[in-house]
Amino acid sequence: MVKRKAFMFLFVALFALTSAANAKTLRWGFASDALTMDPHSQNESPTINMLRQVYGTLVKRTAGLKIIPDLATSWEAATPTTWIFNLRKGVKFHDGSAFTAEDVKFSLERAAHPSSDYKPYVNTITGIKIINKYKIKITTKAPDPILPSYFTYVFIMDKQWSEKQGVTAPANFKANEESYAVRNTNGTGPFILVSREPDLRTVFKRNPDYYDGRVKIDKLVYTPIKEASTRVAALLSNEIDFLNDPPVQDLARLKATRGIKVMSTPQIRTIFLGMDQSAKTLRSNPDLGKNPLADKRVREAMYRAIDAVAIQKKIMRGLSVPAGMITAPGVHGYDKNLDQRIPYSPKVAKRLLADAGYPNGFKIRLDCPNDRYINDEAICQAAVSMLARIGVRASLNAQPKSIHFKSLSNSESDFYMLGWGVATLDSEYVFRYLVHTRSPKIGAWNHANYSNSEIDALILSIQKEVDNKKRDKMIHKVWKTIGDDITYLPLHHQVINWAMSDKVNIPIQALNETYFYQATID
Amino acid sequence: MSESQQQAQEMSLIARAFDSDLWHSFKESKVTMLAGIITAFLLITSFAAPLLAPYTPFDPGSISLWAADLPPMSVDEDGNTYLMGTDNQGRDILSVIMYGMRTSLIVGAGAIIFAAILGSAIGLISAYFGGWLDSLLMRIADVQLSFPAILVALLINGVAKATLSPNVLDGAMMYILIFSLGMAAWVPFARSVRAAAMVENQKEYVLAARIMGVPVRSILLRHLLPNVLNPILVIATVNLAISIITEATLSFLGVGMPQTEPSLGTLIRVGANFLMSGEWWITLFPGITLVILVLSVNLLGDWLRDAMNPRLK
Repeated sequence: MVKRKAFMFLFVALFALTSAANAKTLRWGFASDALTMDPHSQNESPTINMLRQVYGTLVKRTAGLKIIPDLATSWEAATPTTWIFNLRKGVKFHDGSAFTAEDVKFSLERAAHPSSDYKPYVNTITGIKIINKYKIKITTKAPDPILPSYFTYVFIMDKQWSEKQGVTAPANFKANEESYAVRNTNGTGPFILVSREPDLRTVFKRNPDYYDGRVKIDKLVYTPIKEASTRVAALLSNEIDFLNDPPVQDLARLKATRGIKVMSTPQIRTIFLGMDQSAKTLRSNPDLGKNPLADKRVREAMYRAIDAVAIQKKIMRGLSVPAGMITAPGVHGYDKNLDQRIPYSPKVAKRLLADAGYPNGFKIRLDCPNDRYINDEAICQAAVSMLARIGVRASLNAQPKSIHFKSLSNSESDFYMLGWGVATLDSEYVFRYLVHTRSPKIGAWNHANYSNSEIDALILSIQKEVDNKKRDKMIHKVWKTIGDDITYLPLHHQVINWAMSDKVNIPIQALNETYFYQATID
Repeated sequence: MSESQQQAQEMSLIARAFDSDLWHSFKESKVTMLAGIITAFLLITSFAAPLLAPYTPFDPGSISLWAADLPPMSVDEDGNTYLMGTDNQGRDILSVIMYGMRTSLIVGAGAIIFAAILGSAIGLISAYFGGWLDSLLMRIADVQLSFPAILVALLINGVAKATLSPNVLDGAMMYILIFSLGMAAWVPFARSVRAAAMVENQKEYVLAARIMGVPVRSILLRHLLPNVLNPILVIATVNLAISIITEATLSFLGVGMPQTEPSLGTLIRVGANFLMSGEWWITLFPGITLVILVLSVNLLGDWLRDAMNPRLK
């Protein structure tokens, strides 16, 4: 008997050992951390990507960007203004409670809360009606043909859990609000958050009950590493297995290293500079007495001063596409003819500045993130010296994205860098956030404070237009107008590069989302 | 006094300096001579950077991105030669180093001067007044000493960064660094000055001055201070090297001088990002310069310490 017990013990111990050895851990590195784990607090891609591991959405995209079922198994437009979503049965949140239509209604309403950064995703919704536990009806104020594509970004939370933890409203990011949901999660996604230390380490474990295929990675460890060279060194020394933002200058070396592979794809993200056109005076140079950026000639001069090809060749090492539009190929409404840059010409730029009354230029501050986009700070430095050649003396303020985005939200910048990826793959999403006059429900990221009532009206009609041809025409008109107005100063479309141990298999995705639930480790 | 007489007196001052023990011990040690020459050379090249540097790297209008990432000894499209290559923005590394070294030296020396003034003042006051004030000041020094210098500097830096607006921060960074490094370095000054001043304090001339009712300020500054200058000078030189290194460390960590006004540490940090991709010159040359600078200043400090120590004679 005793012998048998000992044998059993040995067996169990051995089993535990072997299973521990077989546990597949994927160590993931990136420049910066998610800004929050509250699913409706910040509409920022790395944040969304992190949330995606934990939270489910009604519908989602494949790596090829096709829309497929997630928490909704099917959906249809019953009438032009009503949508019916049939929900997946038997899904459990990480804490074990069942997923029902109540949770969907709750989450959509939470995303529409004033402190949410996802309001533009749900601002066409007027009514949410629960038909039964697994069926929900959504009415929109006007026909909204692309509503499902917006739902790929609205994460579904557990109503009960949120009520219990007192997080029924999204944490207010601008006001530095901390709530239980900022560091804790309860989703339906492929991974369960085990521990979170912001800016240090976030650990996830496999969700054994995940409904969309077996997750093959047992443990996912996320480590933000700010310094580019340290990130590469970590990959080379096998301290991390996967990097979704290797520095472009190191790609050649990484490709040549045995045991490491590099994948690339054009990204749906455009990097540009924004110029506040509505401010009375410059915040960074109030002595000037007026706002030169309000003058289109000044904006054009600054546009012409930027040598985008030099930035592409020297800073991006060829891995970017100079842009004339602030949206990338692959987005509905993108037009190659509009994606042409106004030619680089410091001479013309100087003349334009003189015409506008600034023959000697002016001083301004350029606000940039330094851990968000590929070589963001280096691009801004280059822009500063290019602008200096026409007399615009910009001082560079490069900061971590958490501070940069907060200062944008608080309208503290005249001149800033921003990149925009297009979640819905439709131009209207860009207009909704970046072009429509900034107001509580729409235009949240229009820090250029571009305001054109005609365009605003056009954007609202695009939202409800069902005739594709008419809609495309209107989209084209908006792009043409804001291009002619030099609303933004486009720089380039990014290219995504992922570097990883060659044991890792994961589909690359053009929105830079990492689908670890589909990843395997050999 | 006629002009020639005055000249003669000045000459004799210089002659006296050349005839001093200090000069003889300097001449005796070849290593010290070499360190002295190198330090002098670095000082001149860095402070005369605007005149000597081949390019003006911090005038943003004068740099061209097309000249970026050139290896040492290359020539760009316009026929400009770059002896030590260029960085990722097209700045000439040699010129950048000359300006950067100047920043490093100004911050290092500024911090030491600040620390010397603060430390000497505290040391003198401690020694002269004694009693509870002495105990209090020396306990503060003890507490301060238990914090590593870099931690103190990081702390002050962090507070400054959080309170100042970004508009003024870059311009004020140099002063913040001088202040924080100085705050981290005053203790050795205070302790040595206190020890030396306590000895002087018991001597007749100080007692006489006290009895005669000479104001405290005069006793401290005119009687005590000149007699405790030797240790201050030695500590200052030895600590200058440390202060330069600490500043470089802070800048390397990204909390020091901004990229618009880089010190050697900033240059090494920026360059380190390109080390992996084979662009070694961006970080190597500033690194070597820092090593040479600190080594020579350190050797000078060591020599000064030995030369001024009467017990070693």
